[in-house]
Amino acid sequence: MIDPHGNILVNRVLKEEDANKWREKASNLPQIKIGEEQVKDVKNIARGVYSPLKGFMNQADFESVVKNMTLADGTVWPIPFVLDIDEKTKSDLGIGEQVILADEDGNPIAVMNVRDLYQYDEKDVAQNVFKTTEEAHPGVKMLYDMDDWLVGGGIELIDNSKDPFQEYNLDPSETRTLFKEKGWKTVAGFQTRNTPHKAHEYLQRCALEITDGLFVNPVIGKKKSGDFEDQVILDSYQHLLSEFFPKNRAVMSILPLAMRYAGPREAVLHAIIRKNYGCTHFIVGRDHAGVGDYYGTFEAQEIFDTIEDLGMDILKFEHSFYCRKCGGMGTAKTCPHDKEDQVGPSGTIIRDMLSKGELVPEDIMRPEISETIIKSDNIFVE
Amino acid sequence: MAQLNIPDELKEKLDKIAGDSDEFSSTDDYVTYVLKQIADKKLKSAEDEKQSEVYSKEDEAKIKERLKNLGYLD
Repeated sequence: MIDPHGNILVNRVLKEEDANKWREKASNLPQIKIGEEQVKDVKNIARGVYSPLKGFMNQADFESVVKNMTLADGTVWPIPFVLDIDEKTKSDLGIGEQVILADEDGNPIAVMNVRDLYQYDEKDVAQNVFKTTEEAHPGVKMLYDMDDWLVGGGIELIDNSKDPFQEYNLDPSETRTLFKEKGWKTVAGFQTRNTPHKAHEYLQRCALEITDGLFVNPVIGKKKSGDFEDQVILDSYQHLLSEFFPKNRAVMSILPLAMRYAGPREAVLHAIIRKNYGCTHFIVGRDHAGVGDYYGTFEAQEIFDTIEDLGMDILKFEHSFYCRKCGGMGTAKTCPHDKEDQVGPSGTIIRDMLSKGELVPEDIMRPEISETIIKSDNIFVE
Repeated sequence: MAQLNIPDELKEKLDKIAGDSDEFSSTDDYVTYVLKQIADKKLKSAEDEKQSEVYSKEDEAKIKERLKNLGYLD
């Protein structure tokens, strides 16, 4: 089994009896309210999804990540994970104190050991992480909306609930056990925030030809308007895997995570997360985790040539399509025909047809998948 | 900003290092940088010492049970 990133699978989930003690003490401790997406980050940290992170970053790690794409100790890490607070909250906190991280309803989620309080230059962070300072970029907008102070420190998880989609929500310790029990020595991770079309499936099948198992890992969480609803993604993948893949060769589990749309840097984060889940291979296609025209088509692949080896194989795929002359799927590497014969998966066409209740052409999407999607009440995020 | 007392001889040495350096504009900057490095390292060590829970045999059995209940394992 592949080692987790940084050689440690973090587990900061409190045992139930300890969690109950913190629930009792919570009302006597200072609290920081955290939003829905930050709750996901807290749970991911505690469950080892972001190993070796044990909490929100201190200043040394934060600045090193922004400038060098490594933690302060040199471990590759591309995206800052920070907890922002306003001036008043900051003035109520002291280094070495414990603080309760509570959700918007005041329910205690985790306890945090405050280790650092610091400020940051948002433009500098935006330029380094997102390669732009434009507020039109959704990740930059999220950054600019943050409060002025950051609090760093380790966390311990009080609330280990997994709703929604708990039946699809596996921790790295669980996926690692699953892969081991299935006898998979090599596993290809596939990141998605879309319903599956044939070009996706082609990449998955190519990867599965050279590995023992396929791990489909849809990102569930805050998305932008026009993205597929989470339930639609799960239903369509469930159908694809159960009907068109061998039972013991492909599994799906969700990744609760807010997209930052940081393109190349986010591709590195996605790879590290899948390594923590136990994947030995990770598929990176064109425009991975990008938005608009902020990143080059293959920039998310090229970045892996510039960083220290992650200890996993990055499977870099070109744009894939159905070729009418070949009578099958391919890429520019495998198909010699003209563009007129190559049918690519146009996101606009797929969305237009599905929103009108029409089946997408079979050479782009399986009719069974189109039907599953059309049956849903809400297909797209408003 | 807080003020700390240090021996005069040490202050002279620090003045010289900061003065010879292109990186620091003053002795205050240099001392702040050095002390912050030490403090961060110390606090990080304290965090690392708080070992992450290791998964026990009992935990493993629970994981397998959950995977079976969810239909991931037969």
